Amino acid sequence: MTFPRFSSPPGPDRSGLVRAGRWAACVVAGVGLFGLAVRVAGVADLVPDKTALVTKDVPGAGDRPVEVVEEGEGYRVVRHAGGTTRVPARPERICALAAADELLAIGVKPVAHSISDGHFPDYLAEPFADVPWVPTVYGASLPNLEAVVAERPDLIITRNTDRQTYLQLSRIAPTVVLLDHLVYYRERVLDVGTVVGRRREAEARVAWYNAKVEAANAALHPVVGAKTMAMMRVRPRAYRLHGDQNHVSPLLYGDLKMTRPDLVRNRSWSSTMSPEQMMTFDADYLILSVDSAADARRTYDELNTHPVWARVPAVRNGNVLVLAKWRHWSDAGILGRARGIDDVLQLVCPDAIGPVNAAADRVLRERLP
Amino acid sequence: MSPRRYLFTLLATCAATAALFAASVLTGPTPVTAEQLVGAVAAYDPGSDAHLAVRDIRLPRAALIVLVGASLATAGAVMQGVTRNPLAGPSIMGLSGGASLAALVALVVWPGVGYTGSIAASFVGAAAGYGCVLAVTALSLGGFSPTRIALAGSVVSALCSAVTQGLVIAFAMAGTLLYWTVGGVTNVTWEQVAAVAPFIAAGLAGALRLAPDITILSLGSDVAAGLGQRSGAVRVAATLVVLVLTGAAVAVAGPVSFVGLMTPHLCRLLAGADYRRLLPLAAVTGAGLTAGADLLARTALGAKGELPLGLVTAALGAPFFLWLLRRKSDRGLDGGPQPQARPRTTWAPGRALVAVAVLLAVASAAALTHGRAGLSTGAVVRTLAGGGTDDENLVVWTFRVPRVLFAILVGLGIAVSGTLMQAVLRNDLAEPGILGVSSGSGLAVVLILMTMGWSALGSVALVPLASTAGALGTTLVVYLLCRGATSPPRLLLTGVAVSSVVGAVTLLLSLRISSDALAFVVAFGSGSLNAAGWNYVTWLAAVLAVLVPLAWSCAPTLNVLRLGDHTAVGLGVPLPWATLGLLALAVVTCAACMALAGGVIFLGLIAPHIARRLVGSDHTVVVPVAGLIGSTLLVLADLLGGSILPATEIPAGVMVSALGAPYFLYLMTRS
Repeated sequence: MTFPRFSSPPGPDRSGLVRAGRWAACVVAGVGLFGLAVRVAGVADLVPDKTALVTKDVPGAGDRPVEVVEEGEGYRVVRHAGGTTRVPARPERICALAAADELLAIGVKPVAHSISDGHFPDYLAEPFADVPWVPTVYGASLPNLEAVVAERPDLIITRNTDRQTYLQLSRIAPTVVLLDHLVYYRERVLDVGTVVGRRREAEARVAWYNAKVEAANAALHPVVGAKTMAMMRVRPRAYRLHGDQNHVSPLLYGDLKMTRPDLVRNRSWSSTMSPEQMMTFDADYLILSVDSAADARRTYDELNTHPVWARVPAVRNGNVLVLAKWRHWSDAGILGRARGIDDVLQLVCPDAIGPVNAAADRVLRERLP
Repeated sequence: MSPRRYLFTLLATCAATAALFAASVLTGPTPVTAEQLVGAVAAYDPGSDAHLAVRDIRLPRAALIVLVGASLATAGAVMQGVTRNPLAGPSIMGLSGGASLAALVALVVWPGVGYTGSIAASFVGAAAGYGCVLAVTALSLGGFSPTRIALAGSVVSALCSAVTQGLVIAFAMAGTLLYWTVGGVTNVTWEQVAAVAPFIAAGLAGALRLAPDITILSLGSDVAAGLGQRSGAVRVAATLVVLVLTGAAVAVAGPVSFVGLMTPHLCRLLAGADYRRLLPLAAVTGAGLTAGADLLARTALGAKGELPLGLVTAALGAPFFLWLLRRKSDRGLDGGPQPQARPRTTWAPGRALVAVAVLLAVASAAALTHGRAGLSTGAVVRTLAGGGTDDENLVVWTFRVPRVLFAILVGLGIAVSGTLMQAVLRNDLAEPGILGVSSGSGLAVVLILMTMGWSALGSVALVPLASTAGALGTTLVVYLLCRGATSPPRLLLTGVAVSSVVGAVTLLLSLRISSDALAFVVAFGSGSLNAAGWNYVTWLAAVLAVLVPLAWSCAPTLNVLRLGDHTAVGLGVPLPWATLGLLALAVVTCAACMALAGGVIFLGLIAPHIARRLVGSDHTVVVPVAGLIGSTLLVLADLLGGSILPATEIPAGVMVSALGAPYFLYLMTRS
């Protein structure tokens, strides 16, 4: 044998069985360990909403609003998800490590911005083109602190929950932590309004959004009826169906009351859809985003030529909207959600976009101070 | 084994593989009967769901899996025969990592690349990875010992996977990280199968054609020469075959690991060492194993959503690798006694200390005067002297000074820990980060985020505590697996294997947490000093103030230990306990640093080396010099990482690895 010390020792085949036994034991142990890991991972499924990893009941997270503890001459003290902070009554230089959407929604332009996954939401790129960007570590919500100092902010808004980063940021300027903006976008706009002293603008913006939802529902439901709608994302080498989760659900199935296809109903979390699952995919309307990453294009081309794809009802009937920009679906505040409504209208009844927006803007004008 | 018995074994294996193939075609959400399965092939009915599922979804996938499994297993068998190395395999020896990296680079540079282009790129990448490993081992004084190759291979793989991760993050392809580092197949079309099939068929045919020569070569080059074989030509041809097989497999399925290592061993038990018998059996068995793993990945283990195939094979294969290591005698692993490294002229201790201290001072000064806030040197000096505006004071005293001090402390701690470990294990390639400290702390951080949610981050102490616990736990596992045989390569390879399992589990678990939490885990694991503050400095200074002097006071013992166990006992060192105590000291020191700074590997390896090259092997001098060098390197790495890219910051730990892995390979050629 090749390796004198590595294989068949001298003697009859006695050890073959023993070795096979050991080998089998190895495999069993490996599978067992791995299965255990899968089980442990599965425990997380018990947490219904995993994007909002928040388990503590604090102001500025979930449906709990930020609390104003004290208001005085030129300042107010607010209690938020990171603690209690004394902020200026009318901050002039806000560093928006989060809540850029919400700030814009109430007519405030931050002096610096940043965002968790390294990519500014594309729907905000234009209004923020001239606003300096705060670099982050590896795209995590760990901001470069010196870059924050350089903008001399008088208020920092972040959704970073790391205690150490919060302590460090607080040494630069009063820091407010707001969480769960994906589900509670109305509450977070109001919170931002409370913190920066523009509560009435925030209320007007919520009224605008509610008016838009109402008008959109009135236009959509006569056309859609009981038909189903879903959102799917083409990633490199994978198709992800957005399940009943907070990137998509609050708008599509919450505000707009669309019907879920069966495949969406059965998953709480967006996950890879195998081609075979696609055979049972019964969406009548489909919003499709294609990642910009190189490989996603190839995956999209494959999808278009896949025999199963043509069987999806939405594809068969031409009810598919391919989004050029889609980050307002994955990381949106109230303005991004409003764009999502435009997308749905575009898919179902494009003529209604103008009237719906006009109705909403009318409400905004009436409510603005 | 008689020909008849071999034939029986081969047929039985074929039958088992065919059964697994059929099972994977029959398994899935759409019910398919055996009758429909035949019908889908023989008389296709476009209206039938079952026929569509079989013909266009399951059959191409099963065919691809079988091809990939067969080619990886054959490649592994050929490699093991030609290099006479039982630890050889495409994923162990840098081929898979290199191929995957090259395919990714091709996609980034040329987005429209087709499958043939991907295969070509993978081929080149596999060749580069393998070439790198072979060059390093060929240059090393120890020659081609199995563990040297395996070690060089795991370092090259680690380097490739680090670069891959960096590219994936830089080009915002985060969702595909798992594919590029672990491998998998979900959406397979006939187009892909058609693209790889010719390459794999050619590779398999070539391997079979070479089988008699490989059998002769595997007896040793002396025997081969005696039998009149032109070994060089066979080696070249065999390497080409391996590259084609691996390149094709990785291009379509990613770096699916351990199939190539595991299968040939299993088959050798059944078929013996004749490669004419071994190769066909290995191909069939590899196909069956991979089909089985894929079936597991999408049924039993992946009931809640399919798992990547590579994760399943890693979970099966890494324990096998560990078991293989345990079985081998130390001598077989090391390839005999190691030749002594050439003695070098060294510096006087005083001179070395002063030189390193000056370097550290220069590096710290540079770090203090560079940063995003853009302060002038004059302003920094003024602020340090007690003047300066409020903003300048904030930048310098609240952020820069603690950050530099923190880098100095972390570098010192990790370097001292590495020095201890190398002395105690008498192994110049030992390093706490490699022995599981960093992977263990990563796993612990993911676990605590999963169980406690964001509130885990609500306390400054919780993450460091969890990370320390994870680090100690993993190191303990590595140690227990090697107990009774702490031969250096065994310990290192065990560390590498355990780290790869822990890393796979971490990856699997991190799929279940939100992207924000995952970003935190990745940033933490990559060793960023961004969060450094006075609280970190104070805490770490207090810990190191006890541990580092303790380590230094043990320097005479370290000197004795390096002479060998017998000498050490003769000189009165209480042996097992001294070793254990010093190892524990090293691990605790390193874990304390990584708990706050995240994963910084390779630093504990490089610093002691440079120190020994400077001042020789007297540890009363090596310990402080290595510590200062570690500090200097980390300060420099942090400075570089913070200023190279305009939009983001490369964590210091990643910078250290990027520089440290090549240095590690260089060291292997010199020791």
